[in-house]
Amino acid sequence: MIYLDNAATSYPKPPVVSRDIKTYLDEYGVSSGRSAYPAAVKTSKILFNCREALARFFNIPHSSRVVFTLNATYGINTALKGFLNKDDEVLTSSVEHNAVMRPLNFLKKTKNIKIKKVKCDSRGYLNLDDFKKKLDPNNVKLVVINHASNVTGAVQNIKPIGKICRAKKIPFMVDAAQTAGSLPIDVAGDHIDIMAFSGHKSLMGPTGVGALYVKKGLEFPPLCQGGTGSKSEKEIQPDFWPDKMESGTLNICPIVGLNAALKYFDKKGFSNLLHKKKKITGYLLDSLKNLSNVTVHGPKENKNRTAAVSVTIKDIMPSKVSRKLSSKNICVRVGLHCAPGAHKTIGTLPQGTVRITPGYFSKKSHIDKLIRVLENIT
Amino acid sequence: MKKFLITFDSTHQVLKAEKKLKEKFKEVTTIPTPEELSSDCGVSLQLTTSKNKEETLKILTDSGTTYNNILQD
Repeated sequence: MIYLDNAATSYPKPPVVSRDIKTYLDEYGVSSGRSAYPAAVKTSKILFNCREALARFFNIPHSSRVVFTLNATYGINTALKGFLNKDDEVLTSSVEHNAVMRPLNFLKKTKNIKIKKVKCDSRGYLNLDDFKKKLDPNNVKLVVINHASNVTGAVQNIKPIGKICRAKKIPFMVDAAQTAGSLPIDVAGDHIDIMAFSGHKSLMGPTGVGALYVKKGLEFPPLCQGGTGSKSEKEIQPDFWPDKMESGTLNICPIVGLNAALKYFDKKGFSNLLHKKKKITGYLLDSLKNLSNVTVHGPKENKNRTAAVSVTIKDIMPSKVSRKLSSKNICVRVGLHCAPGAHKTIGTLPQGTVRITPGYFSKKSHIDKLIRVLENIT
Repeated sequence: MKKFLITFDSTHQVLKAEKKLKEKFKEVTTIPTPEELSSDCGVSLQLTTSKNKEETLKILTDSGTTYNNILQD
């Protein structure tokens, strides 16, 4: 199998991920945060270590403000539904994923929120002048920006956005599903107040884990309430973090796996891994340039982008490309990638694109095999 | 030597405090929280030290963790 769908989830994972999960399940697989017997404390420590490792990885000042979620979508829903109230106005971009747009449109219906969108160019980059124009501090309650598009790979320059939001005292929320683990993120330096991300994409953990960071001082209710292992004599939710936001037994297996993946990043060096992926992305982009029948949508150069590369092939529908690639066991995603706004911006509605995303373990030979199929497709 | 029992609201704070205190003290262990202190989370820290309560408290506060109670055995 040639796997080039790492924007969906990374595959393969570092071997230590499954190894640590197996050890957890076989040797001490109990619940966390509720008891003081050795296996329970050991499990609680893995969760604690994972939280601390995430805080270090993203320069987050307080690890207690990193809460585990099922995925980025769950984190985004928690923040949007918890933070936005009736008639609030939210400023977002025209290239958001449905993980943001669907809860926002739900809130439009249920809480009458107003959604304003900042324009993006045909490559998917946000127009900073339009952002400044639309950021009315009297009305905008929250700014939500997709750090990188899962369709185009375009990475938004979030630092100036964060700086402007901070100056105007408007909370700045980042959907980092595509960028956590695929480029350095400095939460404190970039003035990020809320960040949701998945643990199974570029962070190379298993599916079933994501996290939400919320700056200290910013409070809103969790998406669900329940047992936390703390203040158990009370029938109301505790107000301290992370307990407040994490009810019920956590999804410990994927968290153990994510913790292992973060250790792998430490061992290999994040910058080394980034360099490797950038090189293979460059090789993919260069190889695609040689194909006269292929159009790359979004950024064509290997800068300010992730490894997600969307293409269309002249006169051939993406679904046909998919069938051809699948028959050779080459895995890519085709069609609309849960982000109609992004497709509209780059002009690939309604047929969508073929999205090719190399990962940390992709090789030149994988790209060569893909290119051979694409150049001979009729 | 004195023995202190420190209780916390949250397991996260227990483990944060344990990590910080282990940088200064040799004998720091997690133990089940005694029944009479059941409003706290299930795990507490036990600390054996030659320092007095005030000094120990200061180290705990400086570590940035939020504890509930510190009791001397």
